[in-house]
Amino acid sequence: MMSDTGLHIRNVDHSYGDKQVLHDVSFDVPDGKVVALLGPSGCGKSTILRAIAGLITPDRGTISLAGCDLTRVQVRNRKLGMVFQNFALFSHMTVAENIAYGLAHLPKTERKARVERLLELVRLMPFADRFPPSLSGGQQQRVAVARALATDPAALLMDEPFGALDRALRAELQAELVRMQDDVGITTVMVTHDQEEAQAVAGQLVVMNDGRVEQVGTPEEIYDRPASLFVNGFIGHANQVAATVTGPGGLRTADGTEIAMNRAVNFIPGAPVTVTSRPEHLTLSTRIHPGAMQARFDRAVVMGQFLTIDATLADGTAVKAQVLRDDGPRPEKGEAVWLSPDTSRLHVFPANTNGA
Amino acid sequence: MLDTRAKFSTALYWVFVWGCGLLVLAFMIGPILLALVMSFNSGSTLRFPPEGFSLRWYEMLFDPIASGPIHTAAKNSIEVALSTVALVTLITAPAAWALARAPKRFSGSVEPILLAPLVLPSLVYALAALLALSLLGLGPSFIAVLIGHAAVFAPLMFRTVLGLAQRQNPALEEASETLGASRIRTFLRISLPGILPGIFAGAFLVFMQSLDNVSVTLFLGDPGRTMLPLRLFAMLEESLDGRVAAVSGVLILAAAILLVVLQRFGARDAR
Repeated sequence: MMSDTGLHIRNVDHSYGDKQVLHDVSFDVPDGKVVALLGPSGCGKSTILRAIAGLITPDRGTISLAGCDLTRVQVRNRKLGMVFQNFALFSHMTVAENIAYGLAHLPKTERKARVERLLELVRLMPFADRFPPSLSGGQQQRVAVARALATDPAALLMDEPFGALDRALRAELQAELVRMQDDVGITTVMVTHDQEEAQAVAGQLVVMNDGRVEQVGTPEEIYDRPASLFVNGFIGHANQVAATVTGPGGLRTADGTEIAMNRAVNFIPGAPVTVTSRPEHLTLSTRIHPGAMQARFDRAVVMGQFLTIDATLADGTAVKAQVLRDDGPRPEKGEAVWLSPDTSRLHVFPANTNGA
Repeated sequence: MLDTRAKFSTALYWVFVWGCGLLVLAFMIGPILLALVMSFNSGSTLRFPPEGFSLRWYEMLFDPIASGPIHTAAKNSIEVALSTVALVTLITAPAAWALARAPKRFSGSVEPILLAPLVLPSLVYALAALLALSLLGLGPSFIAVLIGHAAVFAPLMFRTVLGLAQRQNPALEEASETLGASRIRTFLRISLPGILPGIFAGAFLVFMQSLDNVSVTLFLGDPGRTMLPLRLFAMLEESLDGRVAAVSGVLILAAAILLVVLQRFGARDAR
């Protein structure tokens, strides 16, 4: 059932007091790959990371790494590297001492050589004898990564590793991490609430909400084929319109627009649904079109070669559309426009009950 | 109109700040300076203004034949103070560290109890302790003074350590554990350095308080063992002995040196 490589999380439940924060969480991290746990704050992504690290013991479920069950193994014997939120560097020790902290069992010369190799890896050679508080945020983050990698861990866990850094620095360090990951090839689990960060660093995303795994997949799979309304709205923007199923492949939106899908939907006629579309899959027209939703034009924002358009449907639903700037009409504020969805890229979910 | 009012209130503000500030300084520093000046008096009794400058009181104070009882009293007091510091450190440092990690609801209700001795007059405590001792059939002794001082002054160190322990990021200890360190190594290398400045600050406070405490020492102390504050009282009662001022001078110097050392230590650690 379990393969012998990589990290496997199976049916993990956990509660704090009487509040259950993890519900039957399962996912795999293939050997040497980066997986990002992605979700809004409070979705349980940090809790599952702490469970993997052994900082909490889950109520139920198993966590195994390279075929070994870790569930009953103590934190210090798990041989995992962890990068903490805000880095948790030891401020009374130098950078070199921080990195050497997990190497107490090695002979002195070996320890020194290893610390030097890691300082080189994270490009902090000149800072070996500095104290962490005197370093910039980006340098501190690299010390934290080096310290976690020093013990040659079987996997690397990172809790919001870029959260404490400003935006410009983030992109640079994300690229740095990808480079290092290519060098080291270590199985990595990263927790983040930032979808761009997750997509930039990880090959596989685990989208979580409310203590549950909503979807596991590559960034493309998750963007193109969201498994739930939550995922659809959390990763990228999703316009949501209430509709009713009229037949196989037929929908009628709340304002009466008939939409003919080019595929059958798995709902019985009459079922209330929420139909979603990406902004870039809507086209704008100032004339009536069959299958287009009528809306009131609010404003357009120039985004490079695109125009991002805000419009409002008759029932008050706000809709965003992204169209090429060069072609197409430029309506006035308040003018009536028609938005035609690319019906092959629409998603249909049961009517919105737990909002995204 | 508004302008004059603003000016008036600014003036009032400065009068208040400077006035009160100077008053506080006068009351705190004044007596200390006075004692220092009197300790260098060349006259034959404690007197202000001094009749001339001399080191005669210091010479007499350090003379083992003339001031033997004072030396013994000082030695006894320092013994008690150091033992108190050691005992208090052993009890409060782990207690404060553990309480900082306890659930909020628990620590919130325990903390006021542990700090209670601070608001209890030590005279009341000393009297109660003496009664309790005699009920147990025990008399005043070194151990009784030690325990009395520890009970009354422990909250001083508890406070200084708790403050630091609560501010310490729990992720530091978690990081240490994920790096393979044992609980003991984590405490010694990560937790302890974090609370060490609090232990030093607390030790200083406890030492000073223990050294010049009268009430607990008076009630619980072995009458055969004189202690420094009691000895000083006795000397003042017998005659206006200038050596009392000289003892103050020595204590002030010692406190000042200790404070500077502590400041240096704190500054190095805050880096």
